[in-house]
Amino acid sequence: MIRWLRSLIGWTEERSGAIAMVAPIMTHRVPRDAKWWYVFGSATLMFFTIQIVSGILLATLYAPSAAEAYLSLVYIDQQVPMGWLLRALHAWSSNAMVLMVVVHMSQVFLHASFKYPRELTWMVGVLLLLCTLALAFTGQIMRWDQDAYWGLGIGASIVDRVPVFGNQLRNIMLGGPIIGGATLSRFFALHVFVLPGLTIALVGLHLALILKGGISEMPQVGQVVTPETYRKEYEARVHKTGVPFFPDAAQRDMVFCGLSLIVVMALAVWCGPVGPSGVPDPTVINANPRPDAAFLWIFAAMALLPPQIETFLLLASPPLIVLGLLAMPLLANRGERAPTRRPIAVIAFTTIAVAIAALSWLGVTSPWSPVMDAWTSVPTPVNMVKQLTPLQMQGALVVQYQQCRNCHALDGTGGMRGPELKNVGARLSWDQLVRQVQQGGGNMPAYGKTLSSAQTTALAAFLQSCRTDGVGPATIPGALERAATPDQPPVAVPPVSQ
Amino acid sequence: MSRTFLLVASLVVVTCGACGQIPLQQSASTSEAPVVTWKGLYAQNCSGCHGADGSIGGARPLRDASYLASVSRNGLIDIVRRGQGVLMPAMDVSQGGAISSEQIAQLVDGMMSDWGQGGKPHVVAWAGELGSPQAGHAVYAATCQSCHGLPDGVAAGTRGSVTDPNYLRLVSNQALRSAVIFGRSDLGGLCNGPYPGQPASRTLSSSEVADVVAFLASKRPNFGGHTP
Repeated sequence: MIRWLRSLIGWTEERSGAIAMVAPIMTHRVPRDAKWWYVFGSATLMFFTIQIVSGILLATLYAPSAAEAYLSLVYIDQQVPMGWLLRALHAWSSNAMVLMVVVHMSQVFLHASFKYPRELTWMVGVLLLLCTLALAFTGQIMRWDQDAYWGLGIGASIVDRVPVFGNQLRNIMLGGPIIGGATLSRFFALHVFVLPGLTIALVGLHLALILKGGISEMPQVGQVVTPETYRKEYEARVHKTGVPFFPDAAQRDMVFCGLSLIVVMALAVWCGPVGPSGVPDPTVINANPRPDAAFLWIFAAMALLPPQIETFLLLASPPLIVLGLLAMPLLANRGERAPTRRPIAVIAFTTIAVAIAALSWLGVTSPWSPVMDAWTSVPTPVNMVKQLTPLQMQGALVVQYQQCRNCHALDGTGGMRGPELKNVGARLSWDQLVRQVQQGGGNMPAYGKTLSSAQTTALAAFLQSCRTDGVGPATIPGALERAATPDQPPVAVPPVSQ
Repeated sequence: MSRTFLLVASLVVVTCGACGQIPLQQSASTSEAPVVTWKGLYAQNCSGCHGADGSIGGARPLRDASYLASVSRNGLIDIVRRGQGVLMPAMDVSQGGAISSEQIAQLVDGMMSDWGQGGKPHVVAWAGELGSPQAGHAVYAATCQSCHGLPDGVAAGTRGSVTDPNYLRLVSNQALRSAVIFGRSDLGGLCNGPYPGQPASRTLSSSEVADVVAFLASKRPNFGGHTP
């Protein structure tokens, strides 16, 4: 049997030369100290491979049409034997791939492995990061649930803000002015054909560049990168102290990949597939859409952007960040690699990492999404109801009926998207309350066309009553303030004494 | 040894996955459990306006045995199904609401049996025709004015005006009638007596209720004949 196998291999090798081609790659010498820090790239590649295999299997079951996509996921989850596990593996492996890419890039950045002669390797890595994130985003769209729908809506509204070409770009993105059947088709094409193809090509290029430039050594204090002499010094060191990639370094890669796979499998088994979260029906407003883990920090950052510079930052930040990442090895391709000698880089990395972690946490726990059923299920606090006049009481009902509670809290209960209203009567005068209700402002919609004058008056009367004990209503000094009801004539507020 | 362990661990995980069912919390078919009790329906759909336990809120308290003993079941179901006035929304799915007719019946039956226990029907019918606005003016002056102020006057009274045109544009005649008959004891106001300056035994007769509601309705601005 073994003899027969050997002869088969020999026969194939004589004609293809495959082993002769691969053997130098497998046994190329790598630095001896390239230990556990260097396993993350291989793990990323492994998860990408899992994505391709599980993705192909899912593609045989998934119906990429707007009418059937959601139901086909339910079908895969509930009818196909082990279908849910396949979906779970695809989803958790996707998260793991994003995580591994980020960890791998962090390691490369902290060890300054992007310096000469590996600038191109880093740049291709940046493109691979973008491909990975694009795969994750388009994968979220494949679920065609509420998260997908609202995620697309937010993406389209960002694209729409591009000056001059916004509408055209949005139409290209969505396949029309609105989210529809064409939208899913083009995102399916991106997710299944374009992005994986591009990623495979870039992975090939990335690996070729790694072989060409060699795996970087662990950074040593005083071992400065000088482009003029680096390659000769590196080759001399690797030739002297290096070890073959296979089996030495490859062993660690395999152990780490195996352990990562067990963790991902365990997550897939115990946590199950991600979504679908709910039917992607725009009329179902009782949704609490959240992006997948990789985009939570962007979700949080966007929610916290100051409205005045929101558009500029939304449009300018992504290209600036990508350009910065691409240009970094060109700007700093020589010098010390040891983190202890690169304090600015370490501080910058730590700051960014903490910011992303904090924003992701906020993205999970944030109260920014409205509580869509607060208007019928969160009572007006009893202490705020007592002592109200009949008109103010109707105003309290307007707050519920017009779903103000979905975004605004009263005494700590209700939505947290807008300001708490418990003390709003002490902050805004009657005229300011009416103006805010009618014209909106900040992120609040205008209700001028929605509310009758009676509703507006009742609402303003209630809001003006929302004050802590002993605090008078807000007034504008010198202005003629209208009273809450026609029963009370306008009262001139005395000007502030100079 | 370690390789054997890894192999066994992998096999265990995969086998668990192969034998296991889809984790329930992630299954699309088990999203949110439907509300099955009338109290659950109340908490989800009514408590926003009528209060957490139905005893005090922006809108009329429903935990009012006298009120629940006086209203007709079908009348209450109709109010819940189709809404009332400007600010009581229609709750039936067919009217754009969120609950079915069966759930509305379940809700009303639950309220009437649990919260209506021991309540005696009011001597004045909970629903009725409007009376005379002129006669109602006199009833208002005698029984309402001390708390709610002069109609068309500058004084709103200690409890706030009920002749305010904005208020009247938001409440229906039925809501006014219910307020006059059953009052808002939850807020400390007693529209159904005793009335300041009047004998303690003074109550409003059926015709007086109809008259005072007619008087209040006459104060409502009429925009294109629309009545809430």
